[in-house]
Amino acid sequence: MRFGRVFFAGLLVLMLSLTASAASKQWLHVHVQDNGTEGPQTVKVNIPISLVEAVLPMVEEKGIEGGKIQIHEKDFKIEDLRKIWAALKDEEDSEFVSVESKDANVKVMKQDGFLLVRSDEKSDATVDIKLPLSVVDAMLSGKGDELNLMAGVQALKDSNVKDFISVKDKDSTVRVWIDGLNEVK
Amino acid sequence: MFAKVLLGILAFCAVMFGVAGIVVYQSGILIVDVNDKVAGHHVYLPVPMLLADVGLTLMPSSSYQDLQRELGPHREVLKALSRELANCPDSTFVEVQTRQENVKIAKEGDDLIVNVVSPDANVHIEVPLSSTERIFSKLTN
Repeated sequence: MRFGRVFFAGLLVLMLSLTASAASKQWLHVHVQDNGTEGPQTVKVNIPISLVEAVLPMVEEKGIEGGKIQIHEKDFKIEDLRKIWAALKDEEDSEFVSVESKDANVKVMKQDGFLLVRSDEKSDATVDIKLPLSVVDAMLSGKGDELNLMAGVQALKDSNVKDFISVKDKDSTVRVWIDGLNEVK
Repeated sequence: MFAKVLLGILAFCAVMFGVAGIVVYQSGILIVDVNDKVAGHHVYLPVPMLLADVGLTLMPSSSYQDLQRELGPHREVLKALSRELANCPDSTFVEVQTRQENVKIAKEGDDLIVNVVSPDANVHIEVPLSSTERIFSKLTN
């Protein structure tokens, strides 16, 4: 009886630690393929999320401090973006912006807890960006003109979303995703 | 008798060199290998991390403090980076391939390896991570 309890407790601890270990071993992947005029170019980046979480808060460079990045843009301010987001995030699912250009017709919408940026079938370029609202919230949780990169990474990790950026046109492909593999498959 | 003493001394020296070799190997060796194709220079620089470790210990305290001050907040970043990398499985972190250049940053065993192949130069760097973490831990104290 006692052995049974100890065995069960041990098994539970093992399962919990394996779950925690699996969750912490997530990898952020960025894959860029460009077949432009300068010949084929490939960039593959595979970074463990734990590395980003450990190092990002310590980086103190111009514009980056404590996992937050200062954006000084003349054309738009993060503070304005934050105000717009605060007004929009509690609205019902809807399309916010529609941009029509020569290469792609892109729509920005809120749907089922995600901020989506998608192109339509007529576009030459395919754009598919899927960000959980919690990630946008986290990124905009900084003050003034800063983006909270660290909170964004953590929210992204906790969201269980795998593919979140995919952009393709006739010459190039960009894909950003998270999974448990330490290589690009 | 003389031959026996000589043999004994030689055996002692061989054992000492062997032990020293093992200690140096165990503590890791930083390797910088640069082949400058334009100038025709080739630099191969193996630096035992034990030397850096001992050097830090023997360094005068004023120079040690200067080094700490110069590294500033980067000490903590480099310590965290080397600790996290040491705990990672063997992986390729960055791979860039263009028509003319190839860059690869990967972890193999205890080493962080940087390889750059370009028309101008080939660069190969091996950084032993556990020794690097130990050194930066020392510097952060």
